[in-house]
Amino acid sequence: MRRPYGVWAPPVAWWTTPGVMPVKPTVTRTFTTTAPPEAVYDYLCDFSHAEEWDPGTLSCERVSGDGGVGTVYRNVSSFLGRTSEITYTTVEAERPTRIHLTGTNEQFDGHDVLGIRSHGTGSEVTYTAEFSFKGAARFAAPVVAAYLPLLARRTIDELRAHLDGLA
Amino acid sequence: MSRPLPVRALDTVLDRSLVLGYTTIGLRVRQALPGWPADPAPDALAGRDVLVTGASSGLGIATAEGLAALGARVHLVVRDEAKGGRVLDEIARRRPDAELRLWRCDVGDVDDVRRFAGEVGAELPAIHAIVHNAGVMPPERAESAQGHELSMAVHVVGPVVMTEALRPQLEGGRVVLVSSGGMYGQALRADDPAYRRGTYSPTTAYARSKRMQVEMLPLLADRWSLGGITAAAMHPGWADTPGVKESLPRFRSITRPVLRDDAQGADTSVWLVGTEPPPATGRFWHDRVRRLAHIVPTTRAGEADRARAWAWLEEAAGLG
Repeated sequence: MRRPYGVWAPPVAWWTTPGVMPVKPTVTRTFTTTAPPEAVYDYLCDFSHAEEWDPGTLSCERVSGDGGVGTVYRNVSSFLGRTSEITYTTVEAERPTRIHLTGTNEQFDGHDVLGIRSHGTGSEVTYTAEFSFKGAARFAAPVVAAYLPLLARRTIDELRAHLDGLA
Repeated sequence: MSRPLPVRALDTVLDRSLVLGYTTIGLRVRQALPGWPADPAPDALAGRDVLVTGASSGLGIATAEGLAALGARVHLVVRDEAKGGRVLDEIARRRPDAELRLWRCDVGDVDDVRRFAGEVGAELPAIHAIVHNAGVMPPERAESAQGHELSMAVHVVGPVVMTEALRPQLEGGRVVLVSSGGMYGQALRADDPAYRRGTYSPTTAYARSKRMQVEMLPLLADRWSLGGITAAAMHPGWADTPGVKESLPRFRSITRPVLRDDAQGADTSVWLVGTEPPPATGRFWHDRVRRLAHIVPTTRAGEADRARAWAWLEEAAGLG
């Protein structure tokens, strides 16, 4: 059954309420860079570069694949003081506009999606990170949601600096 | 243009109240507020070719006329040529200096869209804009020649196929998808784009296809940006159109005194095509201002669903 949200419903933690459509903590940010779409795509599609642009990533290595759909990466990240290993898989790779990876481990399922569009001589990039948690870890969702704006700002600052460096 | 905070606050209240914002009241209040985005220059589209689908009724006529008033050569794309011819004559009578041209195309049939795009593309080296206005609300579940649910075929698949086929001509141009506020009530149904499950409802089918437009818009905009094409979706508000008269007679009888006229409903489409510089791509608009794609959290699509819907659209529209 769907909870009857009115237009003025307060922003309660619906993602932890059983029986409700599981809306997941999600953050989306759009920014511009001086690098053209192809350069942005080539840099980001190789997810091992997360070592450079993602402040949470401690290490990220390609386990298998050629960089296209089906490529698998082993990512070790630090998140809210905890270190965890997440397996990322490229599920969409449409040069130069769309990159989509899923990340998974015992407690976590996530999506990292990048939309890249031509903008003047550079690009506009929309980065979306969606998080969902399994088992006991799902109670962390509200904490993650609260932390996301700060995390997003740091990530975007790093990402943008590295992309501008490609131009 | 930046608008003062109290103006933005009032605008948002209008928008969320639906009734105030989407009716003629909302548009009139907004037009009177400071920061209302300026009209396009009177000759903004002089010498430019613009296509309007569904141009033989309601918002389509008003959109065609609004674009002609900005100097555009307007190509009326219609399914019924006899009806389209009468509309062309009507507009020509009101605007004797308008340059108008009639084309036949069934937007719900991918083969016919490709045939039409081939013909129009061969004749016009450059197209400034396409306004994808053609709309249907089938009373019973219906399928297109390609087997897509008909609202989805007319509002999503056809417009995407037409735009793709005319990408070279549209370089540096604009694409407007006429959507609907009805989509606010529906989530993306990537699991059932053909509406095979559950009991068919005309308004639900319509709103789902409009939701699909809005959810796919950012991805389409990214793709089309490579040719410098700007894409927008817009919501006309509640206008007193033949579609509403036919499909939603009760809604119309209650709201009629405050429904927008066709020109008011077409205002944002015309503005999106004519204003300079081109508006940012991939956004959803209403009354010349960018709007959120969701009002209630339960309609928010997850990334897995968006990917699934995109895969469906790539297949349906033959995006390579």
